[in-house]
Amino acid sequence: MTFIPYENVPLYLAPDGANGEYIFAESASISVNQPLNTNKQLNDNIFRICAYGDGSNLTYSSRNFNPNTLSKASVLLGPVGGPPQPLPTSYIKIEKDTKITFPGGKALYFDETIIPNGHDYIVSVYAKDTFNLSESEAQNGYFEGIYKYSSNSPIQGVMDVNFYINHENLQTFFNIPELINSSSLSPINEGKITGFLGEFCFHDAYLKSLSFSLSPNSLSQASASFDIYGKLKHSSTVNDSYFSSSLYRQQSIPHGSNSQIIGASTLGIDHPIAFDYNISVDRNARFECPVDVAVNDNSLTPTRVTKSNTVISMSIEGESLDTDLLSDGFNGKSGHLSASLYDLNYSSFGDSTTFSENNTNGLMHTFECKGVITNQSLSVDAEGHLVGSISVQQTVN
Amino acid sequence: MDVKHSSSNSINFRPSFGSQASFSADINSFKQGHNYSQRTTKGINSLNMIANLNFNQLTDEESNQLLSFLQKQFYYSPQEYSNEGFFTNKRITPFAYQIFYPYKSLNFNCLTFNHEKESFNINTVTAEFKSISPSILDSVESGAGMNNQIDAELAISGSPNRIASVSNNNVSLPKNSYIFKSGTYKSFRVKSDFIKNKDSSSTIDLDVSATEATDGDYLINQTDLRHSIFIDQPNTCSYYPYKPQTSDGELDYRFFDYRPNETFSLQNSPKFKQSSASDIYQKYNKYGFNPNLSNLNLTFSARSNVEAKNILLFLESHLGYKKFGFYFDYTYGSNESNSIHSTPHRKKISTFYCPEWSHSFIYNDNHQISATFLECPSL
Repeated sequence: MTFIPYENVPLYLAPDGANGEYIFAESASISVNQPLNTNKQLNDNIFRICAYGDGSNLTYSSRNFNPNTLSKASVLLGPVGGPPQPLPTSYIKIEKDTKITFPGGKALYFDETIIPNGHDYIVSVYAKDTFNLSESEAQNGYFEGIYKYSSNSPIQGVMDVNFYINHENLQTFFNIPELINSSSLSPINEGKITGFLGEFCFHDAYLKSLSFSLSPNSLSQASASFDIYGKLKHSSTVNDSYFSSSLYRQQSIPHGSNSQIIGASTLGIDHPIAFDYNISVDRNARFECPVDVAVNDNSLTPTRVTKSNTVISMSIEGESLDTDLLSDGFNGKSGHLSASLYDLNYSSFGDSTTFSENNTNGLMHTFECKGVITNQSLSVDAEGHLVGSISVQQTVN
Repeated sequence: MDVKHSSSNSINFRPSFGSQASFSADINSFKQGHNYSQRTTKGINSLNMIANLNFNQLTDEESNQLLSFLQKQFYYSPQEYSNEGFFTNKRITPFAYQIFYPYKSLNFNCLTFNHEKESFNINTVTAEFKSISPSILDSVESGAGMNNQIDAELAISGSPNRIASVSNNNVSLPKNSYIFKSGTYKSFRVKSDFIKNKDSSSTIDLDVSATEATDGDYLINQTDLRHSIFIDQPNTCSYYPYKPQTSDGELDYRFFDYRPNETFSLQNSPKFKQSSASDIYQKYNKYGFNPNLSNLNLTFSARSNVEAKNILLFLESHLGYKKFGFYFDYTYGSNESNSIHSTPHRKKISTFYCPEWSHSFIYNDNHQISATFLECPSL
């Protein structure tokens, strides 16, 4: 048995139909949830013997079972006198040797594994003990098969990723409000993503949320969540290029040291000490009824996953708060925050055979939130300073 | 006020899961004493189908196309009198559409539809499609036992190569059909398509061991004459084709072998006679035989594609008024011999007819059917 270490489990994302890239992820997980209901049917655990044999004679004759000589019997199911009734279809399987309990401690056992098909009027049973089964006893058998389960709604997976933002991945995969073609009737990009987590390939992933924090003298780490509707398959092809990918070269990552928060002073904070950004979107999938179930399993993947109710929220912490909010904040006092992410903006050059760093990309991306102030707070405790915080929220169509 | 007109002349979208088809029969009922009744259809177009379809998460462009198509069914223009002697543009012309499995392409009119805009570029259109003039004459389905007009017979002999000789009609057995040996309840699965003309012989591939005794005659109702009003490819449905057997003889109606959901609620409203001589003093008398006929509202949830299709074809083939046998809960139904309790309502076997039912395609391989079974006593 081999457990694969973190460094051998790449996360690779690609827009549908295009080349992708490896993500500098600290952690990633995929989980799949399938809501299932049990298919229970009326009297599906009642075992009634109508007669013995293949149905050519429906008169019940009480039968002596003997494990040595007369242990096996074909029984016709249903109430005495008929008509016969087949096994219920609520079971995916009734295993061989499943016990059928009758009054008086008598028991029969299924002689073979049965997958009910709605036409099983006759089953083969056997006994382990010697006994006689009377007509009234034969009407009161009880057994437990393995129930069938059915899915009431699509199987949906979730992928959560904690990663380091860089130039490429932010624009390509994690940009929720992106517009792709302003000339079309529908400029909102609802595109799906395909990718790998280690050797597991997933399809039809849709970004649902992105969040990150900034604070002085720390790297900015982000987390994102995707809904996954497509198939999960095992494929080892992703590892071929992993160790030679750009992920193994010097990464330029946003850092709190040079990044800027603009607009805080108009909200009463001149010295921000922490900053949070979150963007989330509702995703709803369209699944279509097929007309031919024999040839079409495409109904398991959505034909469209919409994007609606995009909400951006930003919050900052600092030394104060906006004192005017209580007096003129009815219907929401507007706030405009913007965070410009910069890397550390330094480089150290060596020759090509020694390690060199290049962290000079400068501005990597600017996040904005033009909305209203939704929350403010002031707090202080015995071991700290007075800290104010402000949250701004923006709704995007 | 209509949407911007598009050139779309058909519906190019599939409905979403959760869409539903409902069926109801217009029947005449002749009531007789002791709760006996006879039913008959009001006409050949008496079995109605209405599909309630949801088209979810449509783009503005898609909903525009769909709404435009539905709205323009009603566009009116100056009347033109044709050479044949009638107005050519008066009728709301039905359109062909295949709603979802297991239904075939049918002609519909859409008389009610709703457009809901949820957000930018996200729309839901719900529409009620009414099947236009479905005819019960399109239902060609054998009853219990042999019908020489439409059924076929197989004579199987030999093993392990089993030769089937076809007689009476052409046989159309798709793979995974089940055939039943005459005089028994023994069934065998057909492993590959067996589609042969009558008076021919050919090898039939059955899912049995080489030594299994399969020699004998088989009544087959899966023939090329079989036809359904609403269901696509009815020959994929298999039933026990013979008259149901009892220890007292054969029944001349079919048995509905599918079991409803585990839970049920059954309202008892026995019929009785009430004196009307006085408003303030009332006397109640027994009604007669069969006072407490059951009115069952049954739900068949979580059914597979195959089972749902079988149930729907069974109900359709009884046209909303023909009776069939049905086992309800095992605590119901007399366990006494008919010779002891000979009154009709105490018989061991109850018969029902189903005047209305509905089918929802919940999700992949998951169907729900709701049906009303009304008890009709047999003489």
